[in-house]
Amino acid sequence: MPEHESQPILVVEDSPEDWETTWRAFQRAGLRNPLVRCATGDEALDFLHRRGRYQDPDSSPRPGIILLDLNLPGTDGREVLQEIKAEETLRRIPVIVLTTSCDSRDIEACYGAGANSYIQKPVDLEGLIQAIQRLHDYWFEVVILPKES
Amino acid sequence: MGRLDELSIRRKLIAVIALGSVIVLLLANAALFVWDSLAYRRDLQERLESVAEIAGRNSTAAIQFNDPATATELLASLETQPDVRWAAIYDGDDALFAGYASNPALEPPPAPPASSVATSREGVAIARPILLDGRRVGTIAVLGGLDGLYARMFRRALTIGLVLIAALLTALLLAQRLQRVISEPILRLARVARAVSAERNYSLRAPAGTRDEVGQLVGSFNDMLAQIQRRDAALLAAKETLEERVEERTAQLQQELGERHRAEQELARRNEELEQTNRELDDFAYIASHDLKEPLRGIHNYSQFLLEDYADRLDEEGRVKLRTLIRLSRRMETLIDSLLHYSRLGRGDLTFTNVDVNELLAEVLDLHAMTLREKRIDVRVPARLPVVRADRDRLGEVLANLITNAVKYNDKQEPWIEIGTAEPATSNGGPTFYVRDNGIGIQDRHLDTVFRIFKRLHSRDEFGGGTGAGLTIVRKIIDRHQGRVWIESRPGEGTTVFFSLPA
Repeated sequence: MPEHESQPILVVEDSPEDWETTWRAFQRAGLRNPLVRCATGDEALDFLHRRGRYQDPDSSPRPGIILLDLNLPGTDGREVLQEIKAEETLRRIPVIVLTTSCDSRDIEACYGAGANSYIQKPVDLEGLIQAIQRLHDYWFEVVILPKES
Repeated sequence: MGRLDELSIRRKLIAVIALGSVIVLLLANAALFVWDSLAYRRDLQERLESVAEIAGRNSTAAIQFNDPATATELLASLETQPDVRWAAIYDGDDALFAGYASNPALEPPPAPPASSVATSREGVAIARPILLDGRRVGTIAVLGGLDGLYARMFRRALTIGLVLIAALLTALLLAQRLQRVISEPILRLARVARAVSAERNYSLRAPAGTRDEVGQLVGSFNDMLAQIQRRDAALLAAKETLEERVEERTAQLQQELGERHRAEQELARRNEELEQTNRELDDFAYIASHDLKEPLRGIHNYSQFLLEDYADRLDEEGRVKLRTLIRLSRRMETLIDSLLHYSRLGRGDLTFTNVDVNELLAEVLDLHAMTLREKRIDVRVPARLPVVRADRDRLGEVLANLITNAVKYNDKQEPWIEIGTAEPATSNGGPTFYVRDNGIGIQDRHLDTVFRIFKRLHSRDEFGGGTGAGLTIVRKIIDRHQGRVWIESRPGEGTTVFFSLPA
């Protein structure tokens, strides 16, 4: 398997329907990367820090990229982003904000916190599939990702 | 003395000088007068005594030879002495031997006076023994009249009187001149003082004068005037400064007033704008929800139709997806309704009545009776709740939302909820209520975010789901009652939501 296919992608998304759609889009784009889904910000942080129910490192591989929704129940995406980018061991992982919000304040705040890019979720499936395809092509074929530390 | 005080200074001085002189003169003269009289009398006495002596000696022979005629002749020679009123010689047996009287009306006494000198109204009587070879052979007595004395005294008094009158006149004249020395400086001072007082002109000064106490008085007076002048000037300057400041302040205040007026106008204008906006928002919210719900209904119903009409041609997965569709559209409707409700809460009118919270709570608990029973919730109301001033329906909503939350977010085997009043009452004096549970609790960092609309702490279907608007609505309602909401919680142990209402 080419290296870029083995890198897991962490998707932080609370809506089951959106998660289903994202998963579909990955399938239709022909991507075989293992996807890990966390439904809440706290869960995502537990996963990344390998604590709570993700203590077993096998159950929590280091993701190559993180797709992060902003509006999450409990600890929301903006806080998760800040924590990731503040943490020495985590901040090299590219975080792509994938959210319905197009509020300029959110955009500025995310880039200010160190997000690697910001995508507004397309409403239709086709649009999402395209976006996912492009995302994959860019991040896994054009870009060189950092080595896992 | 009273009358003396009323005279002017000049007259006083003149009076004092004149009177003084005259009185002194009078006293001096009186003394001289008295002394003179006394001297005269002594003189007279001495004279009479010597006369008597001589006459007595000269008459020894007459007595011896018992010759009263000679003796009488001898006595008659006393006529030359005008003072002698009578004279008498007595023999050894004190019998009148010879006598003489200047005035036939008078008569010497038959017997010699008892004492050698006697003074009476009639005059001075002298009695002397007549001695012959040391042996008393008779007595001679002489009476001297005081007429001379009286005449002299009269003459004297007259003289004194005239002298005194002259002296008085001279004194008056002199005093007239002399008093000026004292009175003039005083009068000048008095004049200036009167002028200062009448004209209120403090720039006048009394002319400097003598070096005595009056001069000092003048100096002090002038000093005082100078002080008054200075003080006046200072007062004037202060008054001007004050007036300036008052003007400044008045201008300032007017400006502030103007600004405030403008600000008030601005405020009124904004208020109107806001009301306008509110009205528009209300319309907007209603219309929006109305228009949003229409396609939603379509989605919902058509999914339902698909489910009904094509159920047999779909596999289970397909049916699951359709049901998800229906569920999602219902969720959307709930969200729209929540939003509209929330927006209405911010703008609608509240109807305040006296609400018995016990009754209200009972109603709410009744409404949720089934859920409470299903989940076996132990409901505790430790004390009687008060009557408060609030909008009954809205307050009921608050209780319902809080109780619902308390019931939902509970994972304990023996769940309970408690509703009561808390101490202390808040600063505005109203009651504080709480709804407490032994549920899952809330982390400190989420204590504020839980109030955000549609914000949940868990994923959609955990803990009974929900739109995440419950606490938002509670806060909105309590805010509109001018109260406060706050939460205390221990994750894993339970949560208490407090809310206070004003008095």
